[in-house]
Amino acid sequence: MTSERDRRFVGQKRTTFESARHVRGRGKFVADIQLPGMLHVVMVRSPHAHALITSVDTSEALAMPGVHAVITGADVRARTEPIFTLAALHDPPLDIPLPALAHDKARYKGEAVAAVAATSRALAEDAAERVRVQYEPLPPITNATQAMAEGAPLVHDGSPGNVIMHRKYDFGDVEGCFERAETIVRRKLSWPRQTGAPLDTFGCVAQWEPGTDEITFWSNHQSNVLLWTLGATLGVPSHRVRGISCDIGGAFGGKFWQPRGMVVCALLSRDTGRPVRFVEDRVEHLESGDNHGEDRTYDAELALDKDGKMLALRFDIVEDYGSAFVLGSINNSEPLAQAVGPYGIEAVGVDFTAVLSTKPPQAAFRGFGGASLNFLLERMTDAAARELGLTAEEIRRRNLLRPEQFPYTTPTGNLYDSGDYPQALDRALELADVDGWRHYQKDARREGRAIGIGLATCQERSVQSGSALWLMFDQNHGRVTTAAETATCRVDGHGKVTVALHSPSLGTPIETVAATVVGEELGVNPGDVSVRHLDTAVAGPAMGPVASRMTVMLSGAVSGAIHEIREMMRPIAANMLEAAPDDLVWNKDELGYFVKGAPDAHASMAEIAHVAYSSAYLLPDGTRSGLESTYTFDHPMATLPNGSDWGIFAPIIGHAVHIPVVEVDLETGGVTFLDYAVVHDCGTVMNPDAVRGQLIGGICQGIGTALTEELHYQDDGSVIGRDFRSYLIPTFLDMPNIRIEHLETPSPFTYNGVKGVGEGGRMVAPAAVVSAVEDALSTFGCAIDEVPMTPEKILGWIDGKNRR
Amino acid sequence: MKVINLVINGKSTTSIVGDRMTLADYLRDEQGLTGTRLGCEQGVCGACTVIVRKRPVRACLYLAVQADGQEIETIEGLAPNATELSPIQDAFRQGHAVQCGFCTSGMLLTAKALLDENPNPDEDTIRDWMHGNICRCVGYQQIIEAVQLAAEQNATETP
Amino acid sequence: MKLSPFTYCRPDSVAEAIELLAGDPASYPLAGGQSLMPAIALKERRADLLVDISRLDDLRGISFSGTSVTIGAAEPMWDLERSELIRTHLPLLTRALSTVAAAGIRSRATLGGSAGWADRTSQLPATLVALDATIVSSTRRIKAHEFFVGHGQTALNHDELVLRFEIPSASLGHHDLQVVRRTYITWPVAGAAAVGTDAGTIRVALFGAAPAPILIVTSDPADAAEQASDRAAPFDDEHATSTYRQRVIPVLARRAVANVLRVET
Ligand SMILES: Cc1cc2nc3c(=O)[nH]c(=O)nc-3n(C[C@H](O)[C@H](O)[C@H](O)COP(=O)(O)OP(=O)(O)OC[C@H]3O[C@@H](n4cnc5c(N)ncnc54)[C@H](O)[C@@H]3O)c2cc1C
Repeated sequence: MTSERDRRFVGQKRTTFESARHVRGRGKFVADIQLPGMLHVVMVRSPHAHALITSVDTSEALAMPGVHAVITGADVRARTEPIFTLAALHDPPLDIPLPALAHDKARYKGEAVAAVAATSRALAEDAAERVRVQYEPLPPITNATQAMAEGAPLVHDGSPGNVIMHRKYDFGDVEGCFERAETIVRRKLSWPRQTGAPLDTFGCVAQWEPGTDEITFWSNHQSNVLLWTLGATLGVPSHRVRGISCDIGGAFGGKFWQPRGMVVCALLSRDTGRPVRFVEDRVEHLESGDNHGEDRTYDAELALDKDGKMLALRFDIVEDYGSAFVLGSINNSEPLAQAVGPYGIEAVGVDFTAVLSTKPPQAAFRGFGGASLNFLLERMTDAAARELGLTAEEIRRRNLLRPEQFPYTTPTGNLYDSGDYPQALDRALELADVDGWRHYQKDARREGRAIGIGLATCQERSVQSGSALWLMFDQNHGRVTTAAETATCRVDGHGKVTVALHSPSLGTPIETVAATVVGEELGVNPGDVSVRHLDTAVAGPAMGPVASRMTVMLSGAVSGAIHEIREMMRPIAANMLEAAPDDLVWNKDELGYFVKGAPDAHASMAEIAHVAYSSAYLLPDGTRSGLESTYTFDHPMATLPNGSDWGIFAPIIGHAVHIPVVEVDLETGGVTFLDYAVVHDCGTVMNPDAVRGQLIGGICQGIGTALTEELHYQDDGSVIGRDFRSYLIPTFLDMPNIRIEHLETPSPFTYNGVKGVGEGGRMVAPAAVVSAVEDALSTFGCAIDEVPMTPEKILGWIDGKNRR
Repeated sequence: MKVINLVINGKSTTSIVGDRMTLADYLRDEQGLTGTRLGCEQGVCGACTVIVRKRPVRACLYLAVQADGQEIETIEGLAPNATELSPIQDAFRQGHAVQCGFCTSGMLLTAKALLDENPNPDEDTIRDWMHGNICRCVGYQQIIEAVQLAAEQNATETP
Repeated sequence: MKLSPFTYCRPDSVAEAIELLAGDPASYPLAGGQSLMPAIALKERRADLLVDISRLDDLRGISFSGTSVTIGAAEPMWDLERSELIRTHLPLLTRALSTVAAAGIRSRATLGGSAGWADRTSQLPATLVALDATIVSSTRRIKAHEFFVGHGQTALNHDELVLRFEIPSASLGHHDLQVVRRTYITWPVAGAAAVGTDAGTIRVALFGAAPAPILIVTSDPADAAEQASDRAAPFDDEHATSTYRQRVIPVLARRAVANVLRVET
């Protein structure tokens, strides 16, 4: 690790590598892959949210021009093993299959029941309309209340009452805290389905090689972990499943686990002997893709003492997982890493119920459940402030952890590495000029205008260990705790450096991060480093850019590899310089080894590399030709659960204070932004522009979450939000300018003190924007307990709905 | 099937295309110009924007046959050569207006059409002009700054 | 999401276009395609034959006669927005156009297409009604308020084309436009287009208030609100419920009239 003073490239402005190809339109996204003879897949999708499939007739479609193959749910069932989902990690495994194509019944509107492969997407679409499927409709289940109602139809026979699982946890003395409390506030909150909606939908190309029975996938998967499981589904040994990553046009969690299209393409490739491509269209992505975010209600209580000190938080969560349990309960376990937020809350009680419904299965969405948990916590904090007559900042001041309390262990067992929350709050209040806005608010109120100043102080946990995958499963096998990341660095025979990433790129500039770390550790100009992506067939453990882990994990891996290469070069240089290896020091300015105290005795990296590649006779005993290191960086802190708590599972803790200022039109319910100020702490800033981009982009999604975005299910199981006319992403005219200041409290556990940053903006913004609107409406006495705040709901609150 | 003549990035081509083929599919599949992205195919996101007669146009809502006789400019024609970038491309890089890169082609072409008509747009003008292009990653502010940066660069280059 | 198959043709004259349309019940004129293409792609509309009218000279051009402005049906909104004639004589239209979709859509979308599509939430049919436009078709002249009959429904016959719009100059009257929307790239939820007339009254046309634009003639903001409230026949769609529309439409009508009055005094 370099000290701050000596840093060369970390923290400097650096134009990203990735942008060089993108501004020329030369990124290679999955839809750009063209292989000779490639076929295009279109899914035949159920028009019903819940229906038995009584017959599928493919004959007419098969006879259409350009059509090479059609497969059905029955074919998939006969020819594959079940797709792996985290339901299999439960003890005993939960019987909630995720069929690549539905065969017995369709469990949501848009579920694929058959697939057509034709020479063009257009022809495949024509043919898909001619696949005749007969259905026997069943009643849809579009929310958790319906799912758990007496006599509700079952989504899966193996889950009686449509309940997947129910768990209750007390972390710390919850009962005792509530007994001691002077004040208890209670709220019911709801958070409907939303989705990341990247512009690049999910897609893959599969090519089955007949001779070797090897299968290659090109895809925009954000993690290669899935590929380890697909071999078992397809009956191919895992080392014959190869994944090649494309540029990813955004993922936001939704491309973490997308096995179904891949299985379908693989089978169709085997049937036709051709490469086969499936790329979701916009409607498929929004209506029936495997990418939806959390969908939950909270019933919560917060206990406080007479000074407004928060003692304990307890909440019931009911989560509607849709038709499968693909990623298990991770989006409920993971957020508990920061269940107490930045506050010194002593105890947390959680009552969790997971249910099935006839909606698409959930996946990850930026924050993995953290955005809604932060929303809950901040809403409870604001509710308590109101009850106690404190300002939003005062209640927080009384509860924020202090800098000297780090590293801090939370009631759930997770560790907070570092932070300075009071400073962040003070700086944010100043940056936003909250006092000034409060004056403005008062004056405006006299004119009948409603201005609101929001405040949220939130955690942004990062770098998960993997244990959240099974923490709620109470089991003793398959305990994943690695979540490692691997990088390969090579210095070639001319002394040029290449880094091979074992994970794909999705815009978080990991290629630039890798090159920056190489530059920092070796001294080369990052612009002179070449960065590639490895085919999974030769890649090491790598979880990829998910859960705000990549900068921390990748910098650990790259710096590890570079240090190994430096150590490989050392004996070679020592031999060349006829010096003792320990007397050599690496010089980052001159790019080579110097003999301590003899500045003229110097071997440059190029000279060492030349020897390492071409002159084996000059190598010292015990060394071999070549300069390459593959380094796997393991999670720096993970521990296992220990009975009373869950151990450490996401300890690298960012923090942010968001202060949006809004104006609400009291007659139309419209919300406009007047300002948006942020103080943000993600430890050492590796690349200022990239951090700013992650933040502003995340806030943009958070504003969408707060105001416009929703997958709104109708009684018949159809959804409003199935295309971009109704899934409402903020535009240039909807977004305010965001003013950002950084506070850096370096993590003691990571490369140069960096922390994760990818999910942060979206984890905080919804809570902040809701508090701003609630503040604007404070004269109406309403409590806002849900998102999105549509104009219609806002008018309802003005009318007195949900008055407190 | 129809015969069409187009000038794409300054080069004339003649092709036979199906009636229902969009200009976007034609550029991507027939011309290999995959820099024109398809993000929604319903005209909302703007990722497929190309320039026709100085105007940004949705290539997903424009049939290749309709474009017969037109000059089309795509992202591949924006840079003057293989080593240099146009000012707007350079500004997008310098200003970190690019993250995943998927909206970038459409953003650049829309911005170029703007700057060609109005070399010195203010922030409100940029927001209004560009708002038919959706970015899901970087959140607009940096794109606005990049357009302004390019405008400044243009101003210093053309005395 | 690809377009279902159809045949495309580009006739050289209005007569030829009409003959083609008459010959096929599943044929449609194709202007900018900014409404028709998404509908075909989303399989909301089926077409066998698309008759491209966008290059017909008879449907192009913008001119001023001294009392009214004539606008070709296939003239792209892009050109209308930039027209000094329209800006001078029909500033409300310039303003309304600037709120329709975005530059990259207005580059191809046409006023004739907007009229032909007759969306209940579009600001342009209402603007045409407020401006008392006359629609000149291949067979007749018809007033805008009679032309728009419902959501996606006009007085046009299947084989009838809008050729042009004749709009009395409203340069003296002040105007206002109110639009409520969820985000800026989606269609409006509702709104009001208002313009002062020589007679001293204000013509307000409401959109998103009923299946077709509602015209109110008044000179009092409160009256505008009351009439709007009485006459609204609101509906649910993906952006808002009828309850919400019923609530905001009078507000928008009132604001539009008040703003026109404010500018006038
Ligand atoms: C993302 C997006 C956002 C949009 N937002 C808005 C908005 O906010 N407000 C708004 O008003 N519109 C909006 N639009 C629609 C846009 O304005 C439409 O394109 C326009 O209404 C139709 O014009 P067009 O020339 O593209 O018509 P086309 O799509 O070509 O045709 C539309 C219909 O009119 C018929 N037609 C076309 N010309 C004639 C004619 N001369 N005579 C008879 N019939 C004819 C066609 O047969 C078709 O049925 C939006 C579109 C998109 C894609």
